[in-house]
Amino acid sequence: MNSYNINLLPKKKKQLTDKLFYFLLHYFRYIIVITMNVVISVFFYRFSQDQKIIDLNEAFKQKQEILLLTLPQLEEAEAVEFKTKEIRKLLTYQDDFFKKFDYILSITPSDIRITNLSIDKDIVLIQGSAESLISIRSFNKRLRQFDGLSYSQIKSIDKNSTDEFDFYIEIILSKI
Amino acid sequence: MKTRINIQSIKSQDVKDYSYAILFFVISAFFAFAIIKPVLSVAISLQKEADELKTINETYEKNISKILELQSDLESIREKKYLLEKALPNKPHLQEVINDIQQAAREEKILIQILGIQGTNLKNSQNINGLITISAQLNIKGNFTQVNRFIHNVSGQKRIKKIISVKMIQDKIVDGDDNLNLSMIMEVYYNNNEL
Repeated sequence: MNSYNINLLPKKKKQLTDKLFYFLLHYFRYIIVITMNVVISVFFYRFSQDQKIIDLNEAFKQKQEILLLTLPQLEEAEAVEFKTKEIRKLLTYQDDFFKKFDYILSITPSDIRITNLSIDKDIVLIQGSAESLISIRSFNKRLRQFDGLSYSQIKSIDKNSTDEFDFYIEIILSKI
Repeated sequence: MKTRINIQSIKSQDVKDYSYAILFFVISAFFAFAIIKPVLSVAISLQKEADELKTINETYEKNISKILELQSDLESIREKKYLLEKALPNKPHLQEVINDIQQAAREEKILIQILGIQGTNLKNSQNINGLITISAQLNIKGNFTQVNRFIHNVSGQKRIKKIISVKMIQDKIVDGDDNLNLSMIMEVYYNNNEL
């Protein structure tokens, strides 16, 4: 059997306060709840983050102190590195110099007598005398075979009073 | 009649619902901007600060471990470090340079005719950092073997010397042996860093 709810009372007109209460109870509560949730979560999150930041700050300061204490050693290491680098450069220069110097001396034929050998930075001047022209030519040819020489030229050959040939060779070394 | 219809439509249930919804969104937006946003931005800034500190800490940790490696490296070379000091001292030590050259000449039994040292100015060099050059010029006399060995000997000494120029001139033949005049310019260095 169907039941009917019949209300014959006139509908009461809603006041503004009623409407406001209705809004507060039905809608505003969600806003409040969500806002409070966010605020409370952030509040607790802030607690944990603050602690974390304090710990990290402490660790940071400790490490900074350690680094400050090791500064003299760092400077010492820098000085060692600087010296090592400079020494390596100087030794490389020295090695290159002797490679060229020894090569020039080692390829000089026995019948050539060097009277003047001048090495100034990257220019080598050789003055000497030889019994034959072939020796001078072969000497110059062997000079040219060396990788470190960029230019070698016989500048002059003159016959002297003892029937020997005086020569003058200029060599330009590639930059060390 | 038309106005009556409009008032009726305003009072309808749909309009009321929408009004509540709009009010809800407006107030929500206000809360979001006025309360939630500042609170969240505080949280984000804290997170950012923590992340930055974490990164800095990690970098420092790496640096500390590198310094530890450096310390062990320094310890391992400590015994040989004096060689660096010999090769490139922190002071000019001119007497040592002269002694080195004289010793090389003594070993090869040749005579030093001229030995000149120039290029050091102790007063002005105090403010210069890095390598400072001292130029040494020497003239010696000897046969080819002696001269050649002298050049190698001087260069092989612990104090590093850079040969700038070499000039060998044949003087005269004595007892079948060449007599050479060697004129040599070389540079020695010292490091002005007081470390």
